[in-house]
Amino acid sequence: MKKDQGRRKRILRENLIAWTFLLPSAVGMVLFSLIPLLISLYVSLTDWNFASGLGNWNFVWFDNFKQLWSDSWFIASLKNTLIYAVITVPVSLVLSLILAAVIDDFCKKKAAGVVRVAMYMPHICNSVAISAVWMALYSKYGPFSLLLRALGWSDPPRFLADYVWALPALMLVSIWAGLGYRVFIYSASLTALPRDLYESADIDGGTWFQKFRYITVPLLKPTTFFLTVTGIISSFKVFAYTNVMTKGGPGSATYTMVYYVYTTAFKYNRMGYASAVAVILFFMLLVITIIQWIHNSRDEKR
Amino acid sequence: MKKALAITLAAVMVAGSLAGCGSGGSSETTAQTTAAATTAAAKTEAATTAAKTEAAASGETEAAAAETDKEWYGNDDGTPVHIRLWAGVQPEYGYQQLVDNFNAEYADKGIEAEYVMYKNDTSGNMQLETYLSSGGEVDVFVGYGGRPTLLNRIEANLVMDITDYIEAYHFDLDDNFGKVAMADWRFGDNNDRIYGIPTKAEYRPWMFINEDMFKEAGIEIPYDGWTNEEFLAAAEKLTHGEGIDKVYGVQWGFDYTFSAWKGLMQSVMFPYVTYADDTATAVAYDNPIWKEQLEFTKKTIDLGYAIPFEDEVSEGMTLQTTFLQGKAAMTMGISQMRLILDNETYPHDFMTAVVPGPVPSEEYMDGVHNLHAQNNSAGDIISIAQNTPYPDACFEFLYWYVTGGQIPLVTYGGRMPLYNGIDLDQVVELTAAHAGDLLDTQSLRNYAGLDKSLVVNPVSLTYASTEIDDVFKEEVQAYLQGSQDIDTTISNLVTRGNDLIAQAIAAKGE
Amino acid sequence: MKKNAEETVVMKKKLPLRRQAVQWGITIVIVLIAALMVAPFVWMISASFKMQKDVMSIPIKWIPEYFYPDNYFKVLHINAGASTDYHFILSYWNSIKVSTISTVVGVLSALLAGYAFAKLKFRGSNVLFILYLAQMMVPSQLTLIPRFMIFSNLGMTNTHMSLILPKIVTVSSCFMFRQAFLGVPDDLREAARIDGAGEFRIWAQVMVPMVRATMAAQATVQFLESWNSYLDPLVFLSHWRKWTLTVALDQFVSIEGTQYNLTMAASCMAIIPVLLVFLFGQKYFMKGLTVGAVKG
Repeated sequence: MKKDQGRRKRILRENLIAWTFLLPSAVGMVLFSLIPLLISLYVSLTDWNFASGLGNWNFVWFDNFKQLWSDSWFIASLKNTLIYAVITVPVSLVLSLILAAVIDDFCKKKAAGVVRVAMYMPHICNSVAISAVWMALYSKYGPFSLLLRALGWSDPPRFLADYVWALPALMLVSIWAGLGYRVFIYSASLTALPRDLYESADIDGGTWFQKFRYITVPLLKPTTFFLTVTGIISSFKVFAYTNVMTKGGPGSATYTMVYYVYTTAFKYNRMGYASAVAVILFFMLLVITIIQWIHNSRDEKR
Repeated sequence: MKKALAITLAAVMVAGSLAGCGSGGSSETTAQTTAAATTAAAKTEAATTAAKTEAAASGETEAAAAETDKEWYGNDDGTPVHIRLWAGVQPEYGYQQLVDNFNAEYADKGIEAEYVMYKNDTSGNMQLETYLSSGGEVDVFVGYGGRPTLLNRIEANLVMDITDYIEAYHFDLDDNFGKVAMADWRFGDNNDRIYGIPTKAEYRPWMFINEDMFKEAGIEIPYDGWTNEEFLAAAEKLTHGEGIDKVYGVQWGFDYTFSAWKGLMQSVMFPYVTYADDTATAVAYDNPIWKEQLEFTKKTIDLGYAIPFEDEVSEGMTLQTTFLQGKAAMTMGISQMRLILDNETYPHDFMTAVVPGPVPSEEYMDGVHNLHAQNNSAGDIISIAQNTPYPDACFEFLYWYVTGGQIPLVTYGGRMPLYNGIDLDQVVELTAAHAGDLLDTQSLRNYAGLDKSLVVNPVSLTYASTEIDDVFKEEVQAYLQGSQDIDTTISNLVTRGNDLIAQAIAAKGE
Repeated sequence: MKKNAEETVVMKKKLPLRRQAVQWGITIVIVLIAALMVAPFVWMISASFKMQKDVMSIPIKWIPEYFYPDNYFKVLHINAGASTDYHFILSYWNSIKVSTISTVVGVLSALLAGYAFAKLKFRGSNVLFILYLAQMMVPSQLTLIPRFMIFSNLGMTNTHMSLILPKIVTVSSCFMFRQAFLGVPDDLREAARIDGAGEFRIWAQVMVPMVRATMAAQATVQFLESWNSYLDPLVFLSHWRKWTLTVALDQFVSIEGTQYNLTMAASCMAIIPVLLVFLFGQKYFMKGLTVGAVKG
């Protein structure tokens, strides 16, 4: 009995200490993240016009969600967001993995450091500045068009205003901006890999590509998992590039979900409807992450 | 893993069930803070709102009525009250001067004004509205976007009903601003409540031309207007050069002042430009004149006389980087006159004239000034924030502003006053004094002298106007960039526009 | 495949010529790719010293033929008339202030939380952790208005506090610190406990020093994030005196439009401090940034 009491006391104490450590961040989480999220979830079921203040809304149940599927802007934004993620995430993963491995194996040590830092640069710069630079690069007389003309394309497209090219143009900026970060992470993980497998492969006379394909790639799976999840999340949330460079245009060619959330909420003042879009985005991210997670942990068990 | 999934799902479910109390609690707290603001009505329905605000306001005004010519507006302890004016123009185009003038004049009456600039775009207006609803940062503001924007803000209870103040000041709005111009700005069931006063007269179908280029090309300045055909001929003569040095005949302003290009249509179709009639239950885009105008615009682009839509958009071209740098001989966007007058920031050495935009044919030319005056848009609506703690001081400021305080905006900003107390000669004189050789005084006299009393009542009722504008831009861009033909464009405009209207009406009805 | 410096030297001696040539060739290719990555920045710097008419000249001149710092003067409004400027210097100071304080607050709070998640046993730790992770998936635009309402109820709109306070919880940092603390063996903690140290002292004196690399990395990440944040300051700060650099830059870009020379000068100035922070913090990046990644 006494022992039990002592244990309970100890557990209580442990709990108390832990919560003291967690206090600042938990309070912040509840106040600045959880409560706003719950408000938003609730708002997605209302017809709230945000200017009228919190609480001035009518409850409309799932009307917003029903309406979404006949809304061509929403469909376009959903499609574009998916295309964006499906293309930018794998492309930048593959590119960065190859780059990281090649840099690690073949580059002169000193050059490798400099190269990694150089590649990381775009990741640290603010998106407004990056957008400004790329708008200039994509401009009618900018370097890209010049290059294409020099290559014999007499009338290159106006990238950011072209129905076909606008989305790929934005995707290129995203890939470019995120590449260095991914190379960095891969490089760091590479240094942590066990060496013995490579040694035995060397003895067997494996080529570089074989080693890359059968040793490096599988061993880096956890890193790839991490980068996939964060990559999907960030590609789903892309906003500043669209907002500064294309405003969703031409037509709805570069409407992304977050951009649509922003316009419906603040331009059309339909906060309820916008929240419904955001809620869908949220659940999409949640599902993708959970699937990835299950997949990853199943692999780990094997 | 199953466990983790279960926990996650549980968390989500808890989140769902908590949603009710979470927001219930917070709505309560908001109700407290905005108690003053929401005294009248918390929940919608314009009718009850109007009635209740009226009741609340009339209580206040008895006090106001007695003290129209107050000597002291400040606090009881002798300190001045501080009010903030929000508007969407950089301070150097007259607003700083305006506020300075006011502060000098009211130093011993206890009001101190400060100018705060906001961006008149999506994020800027959101910012304005959030501050209006939270209170404390905005006292007086100048709004844009016409009646729908103001109506939306009235319904959200962000704007103060100033009708009783106006009566207390014995201020006759019809006399001072024109009966027709004011008609669009009355609200409430009996159309007799005032929430804001328009201060600027603007004639959207007018355009800027580079007079030096016109003279060089031997083209007569079209002071009295012109037809599309004459315009096209002029544009051809004005266009020259190749590649990066090309000078275009016209920049339509698709990117930064799309509404100005749309304004060209107003001089022909007014008032039924967007909506087919006063009920606003259908769009007007199937009117054959729209087709004609769109085809005309496409022609100017295809012939190479106008900057293509895609160029304007992808380069983010503005009047500053085209017209003012001699890369286009003509441009729309009369609301940007302040930039023409600003030789310090945008140095240029040619004379600009303001002339009417082209109309489809001679038959629209009769009494061209009158026709163009018909779409006088009364803009720059000045209103008072519902939440302001100093309504008396705010209205005194507003009154001062609209009855002549705005003169710096004329001088430095090229904003033509709607107020009748400032006469034509004074406007021309003020602007010309500042503009020097930059502006053709005769053309300005034509523009500023348009008969304000001829304004036709525009469509006051609107549904989903912002969305319809976006659909319009989207479809027109597709047409002008050549990825869709004219008939598809028109039919898309009509179907999508009408769908949006139906949706908005349905939402209102619920 | 993985070799330390010493081995490389040894290996190099053994390397056949062909192998060396391959190494040089690939190094050159990689350097070229890296050059492509920084080319936009070089272009940006170069354009910021050009006159408007020369920015888009054909062919591109990477090094301007003249030195034209007037763009910077104009952005900073040195030598300019009485007209109001873009308040770049003030915005600069605001950004430095907000970012620095946010980083200190954010890292400290995440260090505490990460430790609790990794090393302390308490009821609800799993649920809470998943709740934390779920927050990473919420687009911040969604919660913008509710957050604004909360701040306005707290009377904190238009203060820098409204940008700093939310940094008290940076979920990704909490996660990273958790991973980092998990990697620290429990023996250290036990040893300290036997010496009679309390939990807080163990945290401060034993555990935190063990995750210095992660700390440096997270500090850098948070500083960059806060320096670059765009929508929050845009909405929360109404007065230009409070503006941070991104808001000022955005204002500038939209007003000056295609005046690429001015826009680039402004962008260059906005980037300098983050570049410095990054170059100094860069050493710790490799170690610190990857805790979460490697452990999965």
